[in-house]
Amino acid sequence: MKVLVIEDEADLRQELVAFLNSQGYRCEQAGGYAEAEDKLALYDYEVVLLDLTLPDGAGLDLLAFLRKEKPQTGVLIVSARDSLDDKLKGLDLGADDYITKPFHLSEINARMHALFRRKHLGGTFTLELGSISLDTVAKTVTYEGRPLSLTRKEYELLLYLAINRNRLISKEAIAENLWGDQYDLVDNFDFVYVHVKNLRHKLLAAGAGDLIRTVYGMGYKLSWP
Amino acid sequence: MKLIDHTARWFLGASAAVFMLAGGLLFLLLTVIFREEIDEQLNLRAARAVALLSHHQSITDPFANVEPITASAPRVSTTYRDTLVYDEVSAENEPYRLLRKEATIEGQRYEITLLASRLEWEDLFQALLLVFGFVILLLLVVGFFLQKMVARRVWRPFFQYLQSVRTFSIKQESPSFFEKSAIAEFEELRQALTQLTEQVQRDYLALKNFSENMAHELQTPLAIIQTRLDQVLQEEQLPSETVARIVSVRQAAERITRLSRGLALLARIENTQFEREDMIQPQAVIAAQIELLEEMTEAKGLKINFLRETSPVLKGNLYLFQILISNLMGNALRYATVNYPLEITLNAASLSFQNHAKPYAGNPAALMERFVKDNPASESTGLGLSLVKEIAAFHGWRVVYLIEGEVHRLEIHF
Repeated sequence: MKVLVIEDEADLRQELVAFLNSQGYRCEQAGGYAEAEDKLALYDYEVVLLDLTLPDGAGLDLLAFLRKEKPQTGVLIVSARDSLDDKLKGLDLGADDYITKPFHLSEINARMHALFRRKHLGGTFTLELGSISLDTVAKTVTYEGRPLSLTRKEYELLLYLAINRNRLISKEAIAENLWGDQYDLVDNFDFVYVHVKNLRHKLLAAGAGDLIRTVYGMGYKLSWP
Repeated sequence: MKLIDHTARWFLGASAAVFMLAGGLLFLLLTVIFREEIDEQLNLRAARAVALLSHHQSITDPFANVEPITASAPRVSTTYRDTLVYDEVSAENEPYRLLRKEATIEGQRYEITLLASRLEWEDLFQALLLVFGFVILLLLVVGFFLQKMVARRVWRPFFQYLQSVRTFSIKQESPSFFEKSAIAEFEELRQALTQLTEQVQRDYLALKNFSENMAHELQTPLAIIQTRLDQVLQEEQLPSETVARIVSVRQAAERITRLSRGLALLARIENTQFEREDMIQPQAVIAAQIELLEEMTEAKGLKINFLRETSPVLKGNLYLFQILISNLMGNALRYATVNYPLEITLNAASLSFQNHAKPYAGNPAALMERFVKDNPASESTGLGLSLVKEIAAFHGWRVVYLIEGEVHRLEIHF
């Protein structure tokens, strides 16, 4: 999948590009409005990561350009301004999703994955981990054809870990993915742990093996060769 | 005491003093003038009596008494004095002036005694004082009210400014609300007040922008920290001490993130950057939040009783209302003792969250201030309840936080 990262902050841009490349995306970058405009005009990308606050032009103008010229491109807005106005304006102008800084890289990955599914696969997509299949339309999981009875949250957790497989995911990132960032809950009660424990238990019981590793104090990792 | 009454009282006191002094002076002056007048008349009559005697005519003056005295009698000095004479007609003593003097006519010494009634003079005197007193009283009364009226008119700008300052809000848009005054001092006051309020508003605006910009400007560096740490943590074979340090740095960065998001949100609510046009169905929002957190509450063992007495529809901002509910839920989830259920009660007039938790000794209202936490070591941002407070204030709702022993109850009155 071809991705363009438009971000003026060099450190962040490099980190994003390195991350996306490691995740198997073919990633290009643009550090400003003019460069981004050139690249968007010349090449086709499946997904564009767009920072709204660029030094030499408004990110929203790029969005308008994209919607007019390349309607097939999925746009994920990344913005420091978590202002609702920008968010609504962005989504009104045809952005597909919106994420505010700072973010977890795994969350970017999951959002881009969802965006790609929606935009280019017509929503039909089954993520396969050996004999485990995640049907992203019906939101169900089967192991060797037999359905697993997962709760909605357990399904989302498995999908999140599967998309970010072989990556260590912090429990904060998981919490934010499952419950949003409205909750100020991270301490005191380790609810993520409970969900991971239940999911592992169900996968083990179905015979799918123990895929999820707990890295003590850091988070969780779904290993898949 | 009011300003106008104060000046009126001083005016009244000072005028009364001046008029009393004037009255006293008038009294003294009149007394002296009248006495001199009577004495002069007595002198005149004495002179006429002497003239009649020297022409050997009889004296017709009924109040004159002429007695011949012997040559060896002691000298009679000329004296004037006040005296009382019994009047048979009115049957009472009446005031008279008496003159006694000696006169020698053709070698014979006489002692002349003359009387003059002071009665008509006293009457005149009284009439004069009465008129004077009446005029003074009139002046006092008229002056008092006139002064009050004038003072009220003169001080009007002052009272207007006072009212303006009292209703002054640091958040209001246009600061030039002081009317101009023709009086130089009030005009100075107006300028000073305008300057002051503008300065205060400028400072407030700067502070507001600062906190908002600060929160926003933090986001990008935080994103760099977070992504870099995310990547570093992916490396295998890191020494466990290093991992522990990185994890702790990352958690600190997470905390700054949540703080800056909370502060940015608070700033935006205070700047009223939200619309209030949504029709909110609180029961739907609450039910959705309960469902979203169902597994968490179950895992913790906290029961939730949601009592819908009525299902009101509120006009406001749905996004903010969701934040309000999620903060209240999060708060309950964080602090509630699990032996007792969380009771959520909704009716047309209010919404309340009640749960059992540790008793709190201080003022419950203090818990709604920013960064006030029951346990300072807690990872909580300490912004949850201030968000609740600000969102309620934004919608014009009243928040009451009651703590009785272990029972914590937060009410929002729509």
